[in-house]
Amino acid sequence: MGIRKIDLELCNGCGACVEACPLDVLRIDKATTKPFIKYLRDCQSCLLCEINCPLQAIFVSPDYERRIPMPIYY
Amino acid sequence: MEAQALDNVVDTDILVIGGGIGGHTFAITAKEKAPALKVTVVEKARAGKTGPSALVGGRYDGFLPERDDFDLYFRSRVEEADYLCDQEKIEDNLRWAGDVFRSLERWGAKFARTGEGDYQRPLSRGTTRGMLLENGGVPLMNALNNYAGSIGVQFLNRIMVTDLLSNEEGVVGAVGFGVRDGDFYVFRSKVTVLATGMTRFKTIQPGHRNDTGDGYAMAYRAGAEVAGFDSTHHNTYGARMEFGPGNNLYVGLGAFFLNVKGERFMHKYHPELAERADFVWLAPSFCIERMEHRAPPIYLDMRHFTPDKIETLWKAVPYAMMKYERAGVLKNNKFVELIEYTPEGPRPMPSGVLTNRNYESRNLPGLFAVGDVTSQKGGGGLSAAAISGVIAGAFAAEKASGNSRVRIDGKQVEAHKQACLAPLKRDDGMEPDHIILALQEAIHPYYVGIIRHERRLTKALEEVAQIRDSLVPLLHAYDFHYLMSANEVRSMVLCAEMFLRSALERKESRLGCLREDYRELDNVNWLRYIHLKRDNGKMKVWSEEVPVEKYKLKPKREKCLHPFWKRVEELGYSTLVEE
Repeated sequence: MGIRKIDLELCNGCGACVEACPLDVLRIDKATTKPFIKYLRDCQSCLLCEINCPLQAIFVSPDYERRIPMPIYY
Repeated sequence: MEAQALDNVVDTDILVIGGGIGGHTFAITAKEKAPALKVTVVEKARAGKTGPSALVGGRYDGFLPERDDFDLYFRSRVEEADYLCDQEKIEDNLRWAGDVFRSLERWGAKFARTGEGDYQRPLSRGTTRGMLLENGGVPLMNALNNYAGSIGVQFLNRIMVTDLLSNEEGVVGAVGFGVRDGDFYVFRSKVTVLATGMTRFKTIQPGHRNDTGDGYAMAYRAGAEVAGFDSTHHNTYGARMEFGPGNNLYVGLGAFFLNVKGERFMHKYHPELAERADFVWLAPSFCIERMEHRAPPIYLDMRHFTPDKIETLWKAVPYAMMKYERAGVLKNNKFVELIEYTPEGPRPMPSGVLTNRNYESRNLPGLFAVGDVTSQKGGGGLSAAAISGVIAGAFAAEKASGNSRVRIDGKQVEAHKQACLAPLKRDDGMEPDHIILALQEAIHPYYVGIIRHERRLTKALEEVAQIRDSLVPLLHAYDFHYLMSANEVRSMVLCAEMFLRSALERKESRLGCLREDYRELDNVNWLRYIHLKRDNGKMKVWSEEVPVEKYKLKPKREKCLHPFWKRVEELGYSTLVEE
């Protein structure tokens, strides 16, 4: 189900992942200035957050949990 | 009433809505032609990282004039479109292809080369060849985005444009809101271009979920004539995991599709191209396998890929490969498992704003449309978006240099603002997700969008009308992010209606419109485009003749059983959906 983990110890709060996400899944926590996963349901596992992270603090999985009714499954 | 007193007003000479490849090539071309003009790109996500451009399947469908046969490419594009195409735009596309390709390289794009220094040009779907992007679309779009910024193109990210502004002279700007801060924006422009991609109803492939038909919807609502929604291409891709992109490349490198019995089947449907058959042949073949109870599942099989092919995939679609590894499908650089595959739901293509040869709207001056938002673009995918952006950008720069400052109507701004903010202002209501699911259930079944019949299209249209009238008014957004989703739903519901009404209008089988009840490909009566327009609040549908008489290539004016239906009959398969 998309982005699984942001390692907050590795993360330096640069915000590159929040900047990169095409579906606005991530936001910055004002208190810690570090990102959090806000809209997980919208994640598409594109990996753009992970590959834009300079510290390899993010892990994305391609598993998909939601049901999308696809044509030949009817 | 001037809008300035109320909202953030952005004045710009050229407004580009959408930050994929078409928006970028348009903005760069316009800015280079007329450096004094202010060119502003507005994007609901992040320009250069949005939609399928950055997440493209590694392939750039490129005609190279010094190497490829013009007539062969021209003919193959016309024939692949069953003559339902603008041959002048195909000619323009091919004439500009070499220049645009070299421009992309000048702007920083990198294409993979062989050891001898030639471009790598692997086989892919269909009969023509393309180029291979080094490391896929991400570096391509980063390069274009950086280059555009370096020459002074302005970018405004995380602002969703929801409607166009117009007056008696044509389109004069647009309105939108910040998806992170909720600020409302009024854009006032001399020239406006839609570069917002197509619509795909939030399907599973990465890169496709920004494509919610926002440009189609705002053009339609503004009164633009649009066309081609009857013609849907159904891509095929992972059914259960967010794999991809790269489908075109997989089949080009020799991947197999297997049915539930573990048998290859595509060579039966298309003996010449088999798995490399075009979408309009591939997706229906999956459906006939389904009707014959040999699917689902259908599998993509790459277990036989040799190390050189695996290396090509790592080069062109590295992020897809990382995901295959994580899912255990790829181990020690060898595919060890099958991947469950399906056609996607309907995606109207080529469809969109009816434009002239300069990509300006036929009936709304000042509005341009490039890439997948224009109904005819002379080619496919990334390259057609890039080329149409360059052609239109040059004309738009000239036009914007001449136009004088425009005046916008405050009442119109207010009406659009109320419409787009309504889901936020409602106290209670439905989440956008519920409505997306209802919409998918109405139009995704294979027997609605791919194997069509008047009865089933009519039923789906009733369901979509029900969603439009009963559910959309209940759309509720908790915050500005959900407000974006709610407005995407508004676009998608409208696009679904445009698709179904257009599909009902075409009473023959052509391209992706395979009708069970009209199996003939009818070049006597149906060499016609289906057009749509908003007329007194209603969706008006009509058709217009393709002007083949003035074109180079003319089909035989005859009716015949559609070649796909003919093949299915020869195979002795049932061709009726069980209802």
